[in-house]
Parts: sequence; structure tokens; C-alpha cells
Amino acid sequence: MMSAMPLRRSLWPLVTLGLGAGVLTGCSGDSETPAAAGGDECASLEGETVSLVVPYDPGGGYDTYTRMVAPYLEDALGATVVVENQPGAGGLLALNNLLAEDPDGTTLAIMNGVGAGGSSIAGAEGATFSLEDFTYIGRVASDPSLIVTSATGPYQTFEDIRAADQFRWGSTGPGAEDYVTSSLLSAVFDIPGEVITGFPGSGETELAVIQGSVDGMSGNLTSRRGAVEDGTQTPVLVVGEEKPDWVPEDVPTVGELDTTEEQAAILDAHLALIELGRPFVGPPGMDEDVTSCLRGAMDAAMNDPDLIEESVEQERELAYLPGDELEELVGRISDAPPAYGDLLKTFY
Amino acid sequence: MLSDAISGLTQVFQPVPLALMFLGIAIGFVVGVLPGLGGAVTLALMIPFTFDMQPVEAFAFLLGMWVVTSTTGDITSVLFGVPGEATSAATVLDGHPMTKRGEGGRALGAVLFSSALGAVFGALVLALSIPVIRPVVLAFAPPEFFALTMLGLTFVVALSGKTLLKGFVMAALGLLVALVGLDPQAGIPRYTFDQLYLWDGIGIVPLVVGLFGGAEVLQLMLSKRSIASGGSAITPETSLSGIGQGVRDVLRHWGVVLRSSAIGTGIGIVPGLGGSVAQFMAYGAAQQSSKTPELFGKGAVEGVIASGAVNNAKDSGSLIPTIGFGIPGGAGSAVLLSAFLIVGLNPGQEMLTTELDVTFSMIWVTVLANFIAVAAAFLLIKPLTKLTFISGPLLVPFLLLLLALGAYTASNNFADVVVMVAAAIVGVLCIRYDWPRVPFLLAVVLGSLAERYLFLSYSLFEWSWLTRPIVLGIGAVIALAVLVPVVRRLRARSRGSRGTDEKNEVAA
Repeated sequence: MMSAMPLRRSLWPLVTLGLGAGVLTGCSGDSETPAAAGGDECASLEGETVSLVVPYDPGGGYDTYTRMVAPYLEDALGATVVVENQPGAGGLLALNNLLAEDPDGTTLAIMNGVGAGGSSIAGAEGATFSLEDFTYIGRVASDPSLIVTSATGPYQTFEDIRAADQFRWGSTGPGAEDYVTSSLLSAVFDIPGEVITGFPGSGETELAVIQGSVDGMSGNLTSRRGAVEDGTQTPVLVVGEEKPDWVPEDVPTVGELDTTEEQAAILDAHLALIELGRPFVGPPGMDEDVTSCLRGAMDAAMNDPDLIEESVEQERELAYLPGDELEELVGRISDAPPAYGDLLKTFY
Repeated sequence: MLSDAISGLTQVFQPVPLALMFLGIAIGFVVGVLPGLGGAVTLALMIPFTFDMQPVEAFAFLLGMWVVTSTTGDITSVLFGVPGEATSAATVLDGHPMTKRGEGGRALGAVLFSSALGAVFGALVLALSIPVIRPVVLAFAPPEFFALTMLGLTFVVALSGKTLLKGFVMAALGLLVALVGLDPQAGIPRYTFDQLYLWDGIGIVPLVVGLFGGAEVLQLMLSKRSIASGGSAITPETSLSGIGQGVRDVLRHWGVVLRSSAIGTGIGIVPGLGGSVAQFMAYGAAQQSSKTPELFGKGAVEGVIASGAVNNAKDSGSLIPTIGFGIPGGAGSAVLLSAFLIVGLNPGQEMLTTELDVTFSMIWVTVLANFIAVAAAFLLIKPLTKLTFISGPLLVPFLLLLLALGAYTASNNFADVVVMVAAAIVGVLCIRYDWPRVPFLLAVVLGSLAERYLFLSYSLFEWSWLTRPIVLGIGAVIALAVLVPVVRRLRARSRGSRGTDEKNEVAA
């Protein structure tokens, strides 16, 4: 018995490798027929309590999404699902803790793809994991950013920003999404200027944009909706693959910009990271049965018409992506050109 | 605007919103009394229940709950010396000594009544500020925030009591503690000793709970007596008879109520400062203007009144930027902001024009919920006060449980409990050797804010931020706040040297 443990542990990389290979050979058809939730695979989770860890304080977007999905996951899983907030170190604390949890499916977390992924690619202090470590259950929401400027300022399009002599971004600080995105755009498009750091939160940064003491900022797309419709902030660029209908027609996405091949490669890598969005992830090396049970339950939950209706009512759009497709995405991020990683290292 | 105000009131007085408001008040009442679990966190937990509600219903429920937590948090502070909320720490300073003296009823009467008045004041300011909300919020930028943190720090002078030097030493120590964590500009870990927990700095909730609550409980444990055992002739009945006197105290010190409410509303409007700062600024201001400043910290009713009024005024203040721009003034209003989106309201221009009746319904809920909570609290004072006559050894285990839960629920991290225990030890040492705790806490809270806004001001405006009009104005107030007591002291000293009779007169 004693000797079986190290042996089993040493097998995990092989198992995950096998899963990854399955994805590459085109097994994604599995996701179309959701595994029967509550079947044999889920036997080990039946009657158990599954913790969904939110790495932030209650009340934010990650928390709201997790609490919205949790009851539906509970129904699909036949286990008790509880949401637990574990804030700290910009979300890294909870993910580091997740690494050490038992991979039996009873502890999952919602991950900030850009935040956690960016830190690990850049080898930033505090991130002890790499994106490949985690077991991907499914994406809850995508997390595109929107670049906004003051409605009364001189920069009303992204072309204006590219032509600026001195553009001042507002940001909370190195390593945060707003810092990474604005620094990346400045570097890729050679926008002169600086990123002013130290704002305590996106609310205060927005205030500075409206006041005109900084020229623009990057922020979560959905959260900017009110200010854009209110007319106090001008949207100029969507940093994501899709554009919701409330963003005006003439605002481009990053993919629609004219770029050189080199610029496109870096932007594409970053878009893949953004596409990772907000997934539920489990500890490394999760048992195959448990993984497919959780993925099946996630599939059932995310396709529940009641959940979809609830999300529309709350203006919290869902963007489900099955776990195996997320793994594919992680592969795409790992294959990014080294220039992307080098660039990210300068942002932390 | 008047018709919107009336329409807002009638919308609240429908069966469903009223019922939801009562439910919210009941939840908020319990949450407020329990230490640690704060209003903002509870709001977040309740958000999912508002999915199917109409705007007015949702706000009756959420706001009703939220504004009540800061009222009832004071009850725990007064009776047990354990701050029910991080914003109720100032109430401990004078409220708890009064309980020990057997004046728990009077302290509760004062703090609850002034809370209700503070809420009315804040709501009134919110209502009156509707036409000017946007320019007012826009006038405040990092330089103004920095000036305000400096104003807050000058109250260290007032809050140090007689021993100014000790106060400065404690404030300096507090500033050192504030340095722990990622630096706000460059994200460099300082004094974190490779512990991710320390990246966010020392948590305010476990610090407050330990420094004030933990210290009181440890003392109670050592004394082996009941809390209210200061005098021989004290019984629950004599303690309770003070409620009416507490209410009269509030009316007598109406100036303190007004000033504290104004401070609360003002700090509430400014995003990022928040209630843990506002309470001590109001407390400090009350002490500075008091005729008997030396009684503060030993059970001065003015201190209790100030800390009661400021908390409830601050909630309305923090709604001002939330409604006007969708920029939350604090943690609680940040959570409320997500409720706006859920019920389909867009903060900003819309809330001040087409949806003005909803805005007014929020103002009404703030006032109504506070009055209902205070009325309910008055009914419950009797059984609650009796608890303070239970002997220490019986009460201590229960209080210790409250403390540990209070520290842990802040962020579900065991390290918070460790911080709480360490803070409790520091608190006991401070009491034992007569070092003031408040300058320390104030410096911890304000230190990191001051640093952040100072660097932000410089990166945004270089040195020109020093000449912004509001900064200059606040600078003048700071100069006055520092100079007036010094001048007063010097005068008292020169007069005192002329004769002992006169000296006594000044001291009285």
C-alpha cells in the first residue's frame, strides 16, 4: 500500500498527457453529448461537499458568477456545492493553495485567466504554478477588456491614441489586468507615454479618466457598459475576439486593426490568454473519472435554460467553453512566441 | 423633485418593499451585532436573492440591511468592548468604560439615538446634493484625498490624550505596520517575509477586533468579575434607567451630532477613505472641541455620541458617488453597485433624472430602516444589558468564540486569527502601560492611503497638486487643528502659573 502512492502519483503526468493527446486528435465530439451526470463517474462525489473557491472578496464579478452557477452545478452533480471566498495576493493565494488540494474533485476554484496566466508566463513572484498544472472543468465567462477614454478628452478613437505624443494610462499597478493590457498595447503599437499606477481600484481609475487627469484605461468590458451608455467614457478598442452589441459599430476589436505579422503574433497570444477568461479549475492530476464527471455536470449546468435566462437578466453574460477546449487554449498560450513572454516579464 | 421624493416614499410603503425591508433589517441587525462579518460581505451574500426583485424592492431589502449593520455594531462595542463592525471601534473607547461603570443603558441610549440622527443628516445631504452630485464628486482627485488623509492624521494630536509624545510614537509604529504589503505603485513586496498573506498588508478587521475586543476580553478573563462591576450599587435596573438620560445627552450635545454627521458624510463621499477612518476623525474632532477632553477614553458620553452619528451618516455619503457616477465610495456601496446592474439601473445621469424616484426611495429606506432598527434595539437593550452582569469566566468562552469567528470570517484565512491574537496582546500591553491605541490604528489605516495618494498625486500633477484650491483649504484646516490646541495649552500654562485656582477653573 505504502509503495503504491508514489507510483500512482508518477502516473498523473501520463494521464494528463493522454487527455491532452485526446484533445489534439479531435475528441471534442465528447462535449456535444454531455456525460450522464450522476452516473458511475460521479459515484465518488455523491453526497460530498464540493467547495468552489473564489480568490477575491465577495461582491465582485468572479464572486457573482460563481454564486450564480453554483446551484445549477449542485443540481447536475448531486453533491452539495458551497462557495468560499479566499482573497489574497491578487487572486494568487487561492490558486497556490489549490495546487496542494486533494485532486478528488471536492475543491475547485474560479480562475482569473489573464491575471493568473500572465503572472505564471512572466514568472512573476508569488505564482508557483503554470497554466498547464490545473485541471480545466469549463469556462464560465470570457473576460475581454475595453479601452476607454474620457468623453470630453482629445482621444476619441484608437487611431487618436496611436497618433498621441504622450498618452497617460491609469492603472492599479504592475501585474494587474489594466496594467498588462495597456502596457502591451503601448509596446506593440509604439504609443509614447506612461502608465500611472497606484489607483486603489478600477472605480478610482474611472474617476481619473472622467476628470481628465489620465487619458484612458483598460478595464473589464462588461463593467464599462454603464459608463459607456451614460456617455461619460468613450469606448475605443475591444481587446477580445467578440464585440457585444452595445458597443458602437465603429469601435474595432484588436483583430480588426492593421498590424504587422510580428505585432499580430503577440496580440494573438494575448487574445488566447484573454479567451481563457474565467474558468473553473481543479488541482493538478485529477482522477479521469472525476474530471469527466465534473465536466459533464458543468456542461449540463451551463446549458440549463434557467441559468442562461438568469445571466441575461443580470447582464452577466455567460460564455461556456468545455474543459477540453480550454486545455487546447492553454496549449496555444504555451506555444506563444518567446517575444510575448519576454514582453510580459517587463510588466511584473 | 418634490414629486419624485413623494413618489419614492409611496413606493417604499407598498406591502412587498416594506416586508423586504423588515427582513433586511432583521438580517442586518444580527450581522451588525456579531463582530467580523461585516455589512459589505453580507450584502454580497444577499445579492443572489434580489434577482427577481423590482428596483425599489431590492434596495429596500439591501439598503435596509446594510445601513442597520453599522447601527447595531455599536451595541456589541458598548456592552462587551468588542467592535461589532470594523467601523464601531471608536464606540468601544467610551461606550465600554461607561458599561463598566454601570452606565451601559445610558451609553446605548446615546449611541443608538445619535445613530438615528446621523442617518437622517446623511440622507438629507444625499437628497440636497442631487443637483450638484456630479461637480462635487469631480472636484475630488488624489491630491484632495491625500490632503484628507493628512487631516485625519492630525487628529493623532487630539487622540493622544495628555501624552502627546506617546501618541506620536504609537502613530509612527502604526505607519510602520502600514508599510507591510505590496507597495501601491510598483507592486514590490515590503516586509512580507515570503508570505503571500502579507501581500495585502495587515488586515484592518482582525486588527481592530484584536486591538480593542481581544484586549477587553483578556482583561475580563484576568479580572474574573462581570463586565459591569465597577461600582458596588450597580444592578441591571440602575444601569437601564440611563437610557432616557442617554437620549437627553444626545439632544444636549447636538453640536457634536451635527459635526460628526458632517464628517461622516464628507468622508463617505470620498472613495477609498471609508468608515474605519471617519469614526476616529469624528471622535478626534469631538474631543478637540470638548470642554472636558481629559474624560475621553474614560467614558465621555460625547465620544459615544460622535461615534454613533458618524457611522450612519457615512453610509449615505458613500452612496453619493455610487449614484452619481457608478463609482462606489466604499466596500459596501461597491457591492450595492452590482445590485444596480442586476435590477437594470444604470448609475449616473439616469439615477438623477428619469429614475430620480428610485433614488429617493433609497434615501427613504436609509432613514426608515435606521429608525426601525433603533426602536427594535431599544426593546432589546434590557436582555442585552443583563449579559454584562454575567460573571466573567462564564462570558469569556462565548466572547472568545465571537472574536475568533470575527477575525476568521473577514477573509476565511487562519492567518487573520493570528493577527487578531497578536493585536490583542498589543492591546493589553497598551492598556497596562498606558499607551494610546487609537493613534496606532489610525496610522495603520491612513498610512497606506496617504502613501498611495501622495505618489499618485505626484505622478499625475507633479508639484502643481500643492496649489489646488481644495488642497490649500484642507491645508489651512490642518494648520488650525494643530495650532489651536497648542495655543490653548500654552495659554492654560501661562494662566496656570499665576494661581492654582485659575488652573482648576481651566481644567473644569
